[in-house]
Amino acid sequence: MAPEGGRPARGEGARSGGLLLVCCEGVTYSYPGSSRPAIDRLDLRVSAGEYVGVLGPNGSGKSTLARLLNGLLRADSGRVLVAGYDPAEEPWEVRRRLGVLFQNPDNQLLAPFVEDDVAFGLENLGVSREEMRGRVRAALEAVGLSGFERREPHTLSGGEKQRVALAGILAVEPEVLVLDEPTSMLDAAGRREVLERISALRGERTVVHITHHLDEILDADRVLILNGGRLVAELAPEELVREPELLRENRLVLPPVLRLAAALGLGFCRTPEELARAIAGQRVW
Amino acid sequence: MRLELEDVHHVYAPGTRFEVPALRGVSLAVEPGEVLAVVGGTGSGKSTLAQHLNLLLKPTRGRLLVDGEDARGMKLGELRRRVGLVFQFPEAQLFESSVRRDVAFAPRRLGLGEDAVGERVRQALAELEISHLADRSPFSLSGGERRRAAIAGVLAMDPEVLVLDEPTAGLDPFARAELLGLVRRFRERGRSVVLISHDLDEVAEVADRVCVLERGRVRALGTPEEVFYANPALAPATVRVMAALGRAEAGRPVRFADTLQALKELLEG
Repeated sequence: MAPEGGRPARGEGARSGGLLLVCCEGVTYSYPGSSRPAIDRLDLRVSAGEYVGVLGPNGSGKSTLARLLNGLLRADSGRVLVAGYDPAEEPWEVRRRLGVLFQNPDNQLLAPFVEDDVAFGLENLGVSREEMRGRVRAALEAVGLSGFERREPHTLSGGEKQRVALAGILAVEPEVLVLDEPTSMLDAAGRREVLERISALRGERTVVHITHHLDEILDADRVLILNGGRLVAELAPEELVREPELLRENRLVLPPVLRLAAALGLGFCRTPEELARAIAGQRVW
Repeated sequence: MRLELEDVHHVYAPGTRFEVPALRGVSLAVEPGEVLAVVGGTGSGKSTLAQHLNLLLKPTRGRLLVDGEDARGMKLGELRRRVGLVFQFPEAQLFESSVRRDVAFAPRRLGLGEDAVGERVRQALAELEISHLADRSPFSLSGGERRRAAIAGVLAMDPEVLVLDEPTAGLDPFARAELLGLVRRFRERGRSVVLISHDLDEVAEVADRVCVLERGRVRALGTPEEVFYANPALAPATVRVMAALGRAEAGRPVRFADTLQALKELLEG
C-alpha cells in the first residue's frame, strides 16, 4: 500500500503483521458493587507504530480500558498483555513500556519544579543522574517546553501543565502511549498545543488516543468505537461520515466541519480551510 | 432580573507574595432573557467572574448591581437563590443517598413545606430529563447523568439567572447537546443564562451575546457575529469556514443551520 501524502500508510502495522504490542482477549471487568460490566468480553489488538483512536459515549468503558492496560485495574476474566506482560501481574514492567496521560493535569503534577515532575517516573528505573538529565531535557524539548525546567507547575497554563505531564511519560520512553481524553480539561489554545505535540509523535510511538472529540482522531489509522464496554465497530476515520446510524447508536456527533461537508455532498474535510477549498473548487467566481 | 458588574476588580490573596489580580475592571450586564456566553483561555478570569454574579466572591473594587441596586444591600441568601451558580464539575458535590434527596437539599433549606419541596424536585428532575433516576444513588450514575443531577439541585431553587461554569466539559456530544437544550428552554421562560465555556462551537449555537475575557479584562463584547467575525482565528468552525472562503455576499452566519443555508445558496447561486 502506497503511503498517503508521505505519512505511513493507514493500518500498515496491523496489516503487515507488525509486532503486537497491546492485546486484549475476551476481557471483562466490573467495578465492585456494579451489576453491569464496564468492559465486556473485549478483544483488541494494537501493533507497533499504529495510531488508534477510541471513541464512545460517557460510561462506554473507555477510561476503564486505559486503567486495565496499565494495571491500575485487574480484569475479572480474559487476558490483557502489553508487550508480552500482564499489567496486573507485572505493573512495573508494563509501566516502563506503556504510559498513560490522563484528563486532568492537576492530578498528575506533584513536584515543586517542572524538571522533578518530568524525572519522577525515571526514579524507579535505575537511570543514572546523567542520563536522567538528558532524558528530561529531550522530553521537554519534545513537548515544546525547553527552558521550563525550573518553573513551578502551578504557575503554568492548562496546556503547559498537560504538556509537562506528557513529557513525564515520554521521559520513560514507553513503546505505547495511551491518551485518556487528554484535552477535555483544556481551553482552545491548550487543546491545540497538546494536539500538535501528540500528532508529532505519530510514527515514532504507538498511540492509543481515547476521546469524545471525533475531530481529534481524524488522522488515526483506525478508529474503535466502544459502547457498553464492548467493541462495537472498527473502521477508518473517513468511513465515519458514511455511517450516520452507527454514530447515532453510539451517541457520537460529527464535528461541524464534517457535518457541513457531508450536508453539501463534499466528502471528507478535516479542517475549515479544507472545506473552504472544496467549496471554492465547486464554483467559478 | 438584570445583573450588572460595574468596574469589578478581584485580587486573590491581596497583600501577600501570592497576590494574583484575576479581574481588572470588568463591566458588563446580563440582560433578562438572554444567554450571555463568557469565553476565554485558562486564567482569563471566567470562573472568578462567575462567582461574582452571586457574590460568592466579593469584588476587591467595583460592585454588582441587581436591577440597578447595589447587591450589598440585599440578603445574601436571597441573592443566591435568585442567581443559581453551577460550578465546574458540580457532580463532585453530590453527597446524598438518592438523586431525589440530593436535589431536595437546597429547596428544603429555603423553608418550603414538604409538598412544595417535592414539587420543585419533580420539576427540576423533569426539566433535566432524569425523573427515572430519582431513586438511584448519585454514585451509580454515568458522568452525564451525575452532571444533570447536580444541575437539577440548583434548578430546584427556581433561580432567575442560571450561571453555568463549563457545564459540558468532559461530556459526550449527546450529553452536551442535551444540556444546550436546557439552556434554550430556560431562556424561553424569560430567564437568563450565563454560559462559561471554552467550546466555541457550542457557544455559536446558543449565545445571544458573547464576552471574551483575556487576563481579567473584557477583550470583546457583542453579538456572536460581531465578536467572532472580528477575530476568526478565535471563532467557531462555522465562522472559520466562512472566513477561509472570503465571500462577502454569503453574509456572516454563525449558527450551524444558518451557515449550511448560506453555503447552499452560494453553491447554487
